[in-house]
Parts: sequence; C-alpha cells; structure tokens
Amino acid sequence: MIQKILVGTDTSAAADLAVEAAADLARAHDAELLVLYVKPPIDAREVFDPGKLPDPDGYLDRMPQRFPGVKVGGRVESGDPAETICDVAEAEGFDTIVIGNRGTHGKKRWFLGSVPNAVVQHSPCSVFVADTRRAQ
Amino acid sequence: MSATTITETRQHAAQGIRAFYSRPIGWLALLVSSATLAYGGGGVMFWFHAIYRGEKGPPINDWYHWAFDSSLGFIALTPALFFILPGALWAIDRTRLGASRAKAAAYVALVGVLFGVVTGPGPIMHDFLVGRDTALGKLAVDVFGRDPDVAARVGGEYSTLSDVILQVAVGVPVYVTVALVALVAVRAMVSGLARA
Repeated sequence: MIQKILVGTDTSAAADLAVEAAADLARAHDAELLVLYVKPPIDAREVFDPGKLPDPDGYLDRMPQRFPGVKVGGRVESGDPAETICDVAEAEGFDTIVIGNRGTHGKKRWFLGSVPNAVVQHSPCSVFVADTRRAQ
Repeated sequence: MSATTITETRQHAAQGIRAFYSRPIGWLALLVSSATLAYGGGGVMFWFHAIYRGEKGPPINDWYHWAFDSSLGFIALTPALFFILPGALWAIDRTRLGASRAKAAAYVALVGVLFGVVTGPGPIMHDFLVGRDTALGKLAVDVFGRDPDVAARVGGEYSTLSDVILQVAVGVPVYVTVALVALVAVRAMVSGLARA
C-alpha cells in the first residue's frame, strides 16, 4: 500500500514529468505527495547567469492548483540532491520515491554521477523510475 | 578536528565542486577565467616584472616572452582555478549576500585575491624554470630567437622576496580587475548563446 510519496525536482522539464507521474501515482493510491526541491551546494549560475536560476518557491506554490484532489506539499532543502532525497525519505517514513530517468545514461554520468542512479542505490524505500526521456 | 569532521568536510567539498561543474557554464567559466587571468592578467604582470622592473628572463622578443610565460601560467594555474572558482562561490554562499550584484562583486574580489596569492611564488618558479640560464629558458631562445634589444636591456637586481611581495601586492588588484572582465565575458557568452 503506497501512502507517502516523495518526488525530487530541479524544476526542469524532465523533472516536471516525474512530478506529473508522482501526482498520478498519488491520486491512484490516495497517497500524500511531497515535491522536494534540493538546492545544490554551489550553483555556477548564481554569478554567471543569475537570470536562469530556478524559482523553486514559485514552482512549488503552483502544485495544489496543478494537481487538484492530490494531498500535495512542497519543500526546499539544501545539499547533495540524491543524499538529501534519501535522507528525507528515511527520516519521514516515505514508502515510495519517484524520480526521472534523465541522467542515467551518457558520458556525463561517468564523471558527474547521476542523481537517479544514486537514489536507486541508496534509497530506504521503493523507487518508481518515471520515463522522462521525451523532455530531453 | 576529528577524523569524522575531516571526512565530512571532504565530502562537502567534493559535492560542491561536482555541483559547480555539473553544468556546462561551470566549465565555460573555468576556461574563460583561466585564459583571461593567464593572458590578460599575465600580460600586465609581465609588463610590470620584465619591462617596468627589468627583471631578468630569457632574451627573447617581449611578445613571445609574454605568450610563453602566459601559456605556462595557463597550464600551471588552471588546476588551482578549478578549485578557486567553486571555493569562492561556496564562501560567498556562507555570507548570505542576497543581491545578485553584491554576490558577483564579492565573487570577483575573492577570485582575484585567491588567484593573486596563488601566483605569489610565480617569480621564484619563473626564475627556476624559465630564467635566463635554465634549460627551458635556453630552449625558448632557440625556438623564438635571441632579441638583441632585450639582451642589451639593463635589468634591475632585486631580491626574490621583493619579487614575491610585489607579485602579490600588484597582482591582487590586477587579478580582481581581470576576474571582473572574465565574469562579464562569460555572461556575454551565455547571453549570446541563449539568443542564438
């Protein structure tokens, strides 16, 4: 029985597909949904491209309107994305984490690592991997 | 500091560096900053050391000398800058500066100061590696040719300590200014790429 779902987002189009999948899952199971934005420890855009910085508060505020009928909440945390997602899931007893599969392939993964792969490896609960390739 | 704290600090540093370079803009910033600081800032410092103070180096044409020294600086200092750029951003984040311009100004100042300090031993390394009678210095003369005007130039005799102190004292304001130029250049490139 799925009761508490956690979905991580960086507010990108690909992550938004995972959020939609998580909302569908929450609706189907009448589960509680938390949309988590993890602010990276350092973001080069802060000084080199400040206009492109995401607006997580605005993004999360729109969740109840976007997904009526779903018990959805939003939160912003700081830290390493994969580690923070797993920590929040463990500390607050989430039974399912939803993530997109963007970042699981390609050369970049070898150097930078992949948030979805790290979450799958270290998750304290079930992980639902949404296909977000159409956003790439 | 306990072993656990050291391990955690290392992990946080690695996470920060990974996060900085997780976007192409981080690599663009490194490349542009390194090239601008090495060739632009290096050009000013070359003029200061070699022409204004007349410190001895291989007797080659000044333009070749600048390009040679700056290229060596670019290769040697890019690894240091790899850590300085995310390090400066990490330090600024700790200050809780809110305004974007204040963050940019603090970033430029910090990068310039750190880079200036890192280049402090530069005159020692220069004399050791590419000084007038070193193997690399002789190779530079073989490759670029001896410039009789430069060879005849009367140079000043200075202590290594004064060279190092002046490298930092003059270098810091120069590198802060050049770091600002690099920031503006990266922003212009990113804006141009977004429009293209």
